[in-house]
Amino acid sequence: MRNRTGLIGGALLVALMLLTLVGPLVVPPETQAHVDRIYQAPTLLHPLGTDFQGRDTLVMLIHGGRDVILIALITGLLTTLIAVLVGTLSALLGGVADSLLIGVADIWLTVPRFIVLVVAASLVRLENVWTLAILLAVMGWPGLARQIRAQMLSLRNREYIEAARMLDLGLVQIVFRELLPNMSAFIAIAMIAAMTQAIYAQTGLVFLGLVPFGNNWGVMFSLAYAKNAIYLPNAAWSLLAPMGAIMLFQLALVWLARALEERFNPQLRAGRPG
Amino acid sequence: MSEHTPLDPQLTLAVRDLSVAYPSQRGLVQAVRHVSFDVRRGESLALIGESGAGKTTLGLSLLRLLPPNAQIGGGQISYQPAPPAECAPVAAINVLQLTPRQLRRFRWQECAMVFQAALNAFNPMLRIADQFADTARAHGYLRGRALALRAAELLRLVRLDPDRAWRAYPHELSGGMRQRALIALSLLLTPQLLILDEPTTALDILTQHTIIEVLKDVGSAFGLAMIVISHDLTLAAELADRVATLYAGMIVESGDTRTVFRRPAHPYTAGLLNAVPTLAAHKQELRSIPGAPPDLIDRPHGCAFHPRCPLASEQCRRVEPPLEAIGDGVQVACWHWRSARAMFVKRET
Amino acid sequence: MTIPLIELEHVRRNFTIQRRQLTAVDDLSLRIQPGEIVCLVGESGCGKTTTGKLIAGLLPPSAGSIRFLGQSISQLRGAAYRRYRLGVQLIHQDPYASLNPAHTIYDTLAAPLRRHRLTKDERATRARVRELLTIVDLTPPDDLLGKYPHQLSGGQRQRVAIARALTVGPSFLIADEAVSMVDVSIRISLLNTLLRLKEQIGLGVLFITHDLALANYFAWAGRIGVMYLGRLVELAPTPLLIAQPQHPYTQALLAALPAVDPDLNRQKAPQLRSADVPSLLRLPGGCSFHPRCPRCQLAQCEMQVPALVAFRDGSAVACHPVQHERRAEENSDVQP
Repeated sequence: MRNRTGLIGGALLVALMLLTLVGPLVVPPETQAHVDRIYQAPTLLHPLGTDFQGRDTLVMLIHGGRDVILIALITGLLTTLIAVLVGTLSALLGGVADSLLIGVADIWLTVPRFIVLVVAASLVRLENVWTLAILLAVMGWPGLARQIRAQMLSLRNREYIEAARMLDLGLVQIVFRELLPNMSAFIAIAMIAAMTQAIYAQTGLVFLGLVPFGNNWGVMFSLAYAKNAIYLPNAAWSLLAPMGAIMLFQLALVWLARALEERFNPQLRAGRPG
Repeated sequence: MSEHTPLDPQLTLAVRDLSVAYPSQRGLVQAVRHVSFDVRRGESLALIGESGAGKTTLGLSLLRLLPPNAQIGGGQISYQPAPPAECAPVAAINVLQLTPRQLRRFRWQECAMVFQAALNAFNPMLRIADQFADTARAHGYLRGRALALRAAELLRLVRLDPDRAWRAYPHELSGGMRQRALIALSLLLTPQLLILDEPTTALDILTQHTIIEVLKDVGSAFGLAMIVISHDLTLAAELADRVATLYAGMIVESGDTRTVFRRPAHPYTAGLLNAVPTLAAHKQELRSIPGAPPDLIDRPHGCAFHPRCPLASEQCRRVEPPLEAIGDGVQVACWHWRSARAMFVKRET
Repeated sequence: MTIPLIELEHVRRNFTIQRRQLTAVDDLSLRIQPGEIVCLVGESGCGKTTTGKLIAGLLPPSAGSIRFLGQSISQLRGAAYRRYRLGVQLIHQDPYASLNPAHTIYDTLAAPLRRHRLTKDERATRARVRELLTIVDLTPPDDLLGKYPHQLSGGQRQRVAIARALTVGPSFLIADEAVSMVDVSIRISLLNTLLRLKEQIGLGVLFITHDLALANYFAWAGRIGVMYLGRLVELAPTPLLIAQPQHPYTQALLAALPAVDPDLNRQKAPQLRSADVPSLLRLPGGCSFHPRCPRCQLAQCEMQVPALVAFRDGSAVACHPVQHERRAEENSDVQP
């Protein structure tokens, strides 16, 4: 099994990113409706068929992935950043500061995330990738922060950290040189988890029509569903294609995470005597 | 039970030419190579060596407790149960060929193993009483009150207070107490052979002393044969009638404990003895053995010990010495055993 | 009389476990001179590791004072604090946890050198790292610079830990069971390295162990302190303690030591009344050893905690019957 899954996941991710970020520069977008070509089954000309407006599904897919992937990336990064900051401060400061920060995280965790998103969507116009990403990050950091804090607390008592303290290496250096590098795998995997979360949230919001994006996979899916694609045989493609794209993206991320985990763990355990 | 040539009735266990290997990323780890030894009735044998010498693998293989990826490359493990009457014939059991059902009966009823007193040797979620009950139930043994009485007897034998230990959880007992409880549990079905893996490692001096006393008591009370696996030479000296030194998965010296420890014939045994401090340590010349344990995947040519041996010669580098009897019941695998004996620093006591 | 390097005076350390209080170290007084070797021996739970941590400044005492070169460590600031912090270093027991797995050996040793600007430039740092590795007998040093901890054996890791401690030029090293997790045949050479460092740079060492035979070897020129349930019960120069142990607990420890020569005739000490150590949460009253003590005869033993009293031959014991006997022989109020 080993790193093959990771390799496939990584390759898939790169392929998807190329498709959706570079693809639009190469393939012209579909801007017009072609009423004579609606709901066609896949042919050589239209490998994934056409949608309810006669637009080529594959072209739509290529142009529709940008938002999804960008939001996933940005949200993942932001969530991880906030969580690492809060988790680290909480674990290292301890005492009142710790209780306060963790208390906030706990309360935040109990708030039903999706409902807040829906409410926020109705109050603020979520037309910008960044706005949605920030919103998702703000909602998503508490869970990760708790995990980071727990990991920090356990690492803090390791002997090599104690040695670093005795050598007076300084708090900043201890955090950045001693503690965080040992958590890099953990953080990477956590970031990937944050990305998958973002995709779910985003797709849900789009499906409910709460996000006025132009065209993306979620929108494609939503429109196809709204236009009763499930009742028409050939139309299934316009429904399944965006869904499939989202799933592939998730799968790529999950495989990558799994391979990372496998790769980092044995190395840390390799030193144990037999 | 499969039969073969009856063994010398004095033997409880006879191991012949046993080899065990594990596949790993870098290659095949040969943990045990062509190991042969005997254990007589009521006798205790110590297998000594350092980490990575294959001792634990050897111990586990006797009960077939090896992980699934272990490959037994050949050899025979023959166990001979105690005869029911003085001259009744007894069939030897070929352990490597037992069926799963026969193996279950073999384990714990004929041969039991005691691991290190680590917190996870017992199930941390169950009381000691429950662990006893589980084992008894699994082997169709006593239950309820009869079990409690028998267990109390055993707990007292290992110097534990039955009232305190019976209802306790493992984490409520100290390491020494856990170890004794493990010993009591292993004796539940009156096995003939007890294998102990590092029974006193990581325990304090007084606790070690108690365990040693307990094992002596237990050995004589039940006429048990024991195999003690340890890196602690002093444990072997206190407890074992005979000792076998393991290096790189092979037995390099074996014999009567007194003889081997007073006049070691293999440089590794001598090296170990020279590295163990006693109370007269300041008067001795204590020395470590240079170098590191050998790579079990890519072992050195010839004698596995030659890179670290002060007596290594060209012959040692090319040809592996066989295990040979050199008199006094001692066997050694070394081309220069005479020099090794002469070189050994006599320990002042 | 020089100022002691380390001085503990009536030091006490409590812990709260599940709302109950536990005294891990009680009324410990000890003076260690520069370049001296002291061993703390005792069984698990006796407080020796806690004592090591107290001296290392990793834990504050609950009562009493700890002084470094005459100054209380809790009151040190600035340069004086730095002198203490770098002057006292600790070697851990577990070689598999004492080095940062994410750093190469070079990184691990260079970090303190760079941080405290102990070397001029990168080349000097490299040279110093090589020098340190050679001092701890890891030769050739270049073989190890780029390696990660998991590629080294336990013994090698401990040597790197010692080298790391040496980077900041300490005057005192605390070795907390530093050889227990290392192969038997390597232990002696590690201890020999430490002894050599004592000779060469006047390094003082506190060796914490439960192995009395190792303590005997290492501290032959120094002292051994025996601890029981948080208290120091005997403290004496090693040859004296081994030849004439006075406290019944010390006598039991010596008698219990297994020996390699099966015929060795050891002094049969009177048997202890119980094999098990009482819990620190439920200490017996008076002398905490009295329920197990074969010599416990006096009512005083059950009611009064014996203090560590020093005698003219350099030994100190905390035992009522022994003190009565010896006070009859001599009068002394010398501090240990």
